[in-house]
Amino acid sequence: MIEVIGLHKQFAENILYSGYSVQFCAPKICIEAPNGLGKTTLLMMLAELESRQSGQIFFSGKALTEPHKQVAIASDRIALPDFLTAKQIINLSANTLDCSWPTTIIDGFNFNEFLNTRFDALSSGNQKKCQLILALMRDAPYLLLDEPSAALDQSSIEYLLVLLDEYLIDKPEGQIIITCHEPAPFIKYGFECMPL
Amino acid sequence: MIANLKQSIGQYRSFLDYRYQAYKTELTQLLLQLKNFGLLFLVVLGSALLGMILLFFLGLGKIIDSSDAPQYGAQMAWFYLLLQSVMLGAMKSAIKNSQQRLFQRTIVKLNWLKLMDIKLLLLSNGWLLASLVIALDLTMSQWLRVPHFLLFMLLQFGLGVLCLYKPTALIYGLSFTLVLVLLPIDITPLVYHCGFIVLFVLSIFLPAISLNDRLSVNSLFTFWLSFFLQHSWILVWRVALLLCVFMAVTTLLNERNDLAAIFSVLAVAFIVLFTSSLQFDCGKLRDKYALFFQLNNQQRLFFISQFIPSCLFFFISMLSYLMFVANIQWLLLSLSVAWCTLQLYIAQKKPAHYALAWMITTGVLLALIT
Repeated sequence: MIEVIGLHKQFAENILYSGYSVQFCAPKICIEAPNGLGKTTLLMMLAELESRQSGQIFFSGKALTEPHKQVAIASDRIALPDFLTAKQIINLSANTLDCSWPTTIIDGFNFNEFLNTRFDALSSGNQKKCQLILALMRDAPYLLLDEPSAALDQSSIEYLLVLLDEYLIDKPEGQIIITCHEPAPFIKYGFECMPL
Repeated sequence: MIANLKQSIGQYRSFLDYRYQAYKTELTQLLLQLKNFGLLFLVVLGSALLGMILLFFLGLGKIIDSSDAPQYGAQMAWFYLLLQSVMLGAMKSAIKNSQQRLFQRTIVKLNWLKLMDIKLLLLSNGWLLASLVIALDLTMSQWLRVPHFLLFMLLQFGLGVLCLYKPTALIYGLSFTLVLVLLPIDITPLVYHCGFIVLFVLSIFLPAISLNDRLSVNSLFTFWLSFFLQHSWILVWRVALLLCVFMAVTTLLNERNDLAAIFSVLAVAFIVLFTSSLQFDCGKLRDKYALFFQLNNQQRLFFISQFIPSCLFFFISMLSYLMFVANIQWLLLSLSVAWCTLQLYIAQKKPAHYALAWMITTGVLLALIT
């Protein structure tokens, strides 16, 4: 369970969260809210990639000790090196984090033929696939996906849903939180919808 | 028929206006990017502008009148072509209006597009315009003595076109011609320039080789290497300007060896400027990909790694200066290391004060020496 207590976050004068508290209890949650309310910022703060003015965040009652091992995140907010090919980006991350090359996930997303394409030359759908591959290959207990189905083709959405369905099998304390504007397919696969 | 022609002329004029507008806007933005150096350019380069123009025409004179020393003339020609390529490389996006290239394709024919590119290229190529000014002043008998100058102007134009449409050929060509001008052979200026043309034409047919695709990126070292391989431009213009400094110092030392101490300080000042300013590019890259490396638990290493390219560049430049140009006193050498470190710190923490700090340090060092 992820618990947020008394979160305060503001950009300059713009207060995004003030004394915000929430408990994400279900194993698979889909956060739904209109644009600009801070869904991505919340995910970034959960992954400790964005600082906060105050508040606490607990994962199964504890603060994160090794965020890079405990949380995996895919978001457009995290710029990937656009001058590298997708293969080089995945290789760099896999080497750094000591992960094995994610053959199955790459095959599942039909991404093989785009591995040698520079990231900035990939279509938005393929850029999204690259982000998802990087997050999923970590096999972290907490998985945060920002608009995972945006720009994906139908077969890739179906593959993603199957992957997410099986993701928590070997992670009893794990949790998947996604943000999405079209939650219907995710709800069909057991996601619980939550407003922000 | 006449109505169609009038309509075409009208469309062409509108397109012409649009391209001039886009050209001016992008050049203005390019100059705004140099605002950190604005004061520096005004004070240092502004006062030396007349001298630089004179030096520029003096160099052209050496290229024209190189029958006594053909190799030196050819080296000077190569150097001019390199500097021209660097300048046009910086202006390329403005000349082509690259950002709206696809939009342009939707409104006009391809040959109009290329015609405008060439017009703006000619307008931007100050190096070729200066050669034209001299060419117009030459009499027929002078022309008969220096036919290679015509080929040099042809090269200036051709390399401008290559810079716009086939930059890989430009890099190959400059590399091959560098070998040619360094070979200890005794040939006439005309043969040198014919050799240049042949080598640049051959370069057009060579396939582009992407080293980056073959590079296995698995560490921060290969990450930076890949960045510089793909953004070699940021190193090329600095190296070209450093070569300028090295050549100028060599010439000045031959003329006034009694002022060697002052030339050493100036050389060190420019080495520090061109190498430490690399931090602006590295810092930008670090800011852009900080989250990615934080995700990979390498934020600290990535932060430190951003300073290494500038430091390496500084040491290589210093070493090259010491090996090929002149000696530097130990005290000045030690000071230069501290100075480069200071400039790196300022580039990172207070970029707006970078130029000011450089000028003050240069001034203080010059005052101490004199």
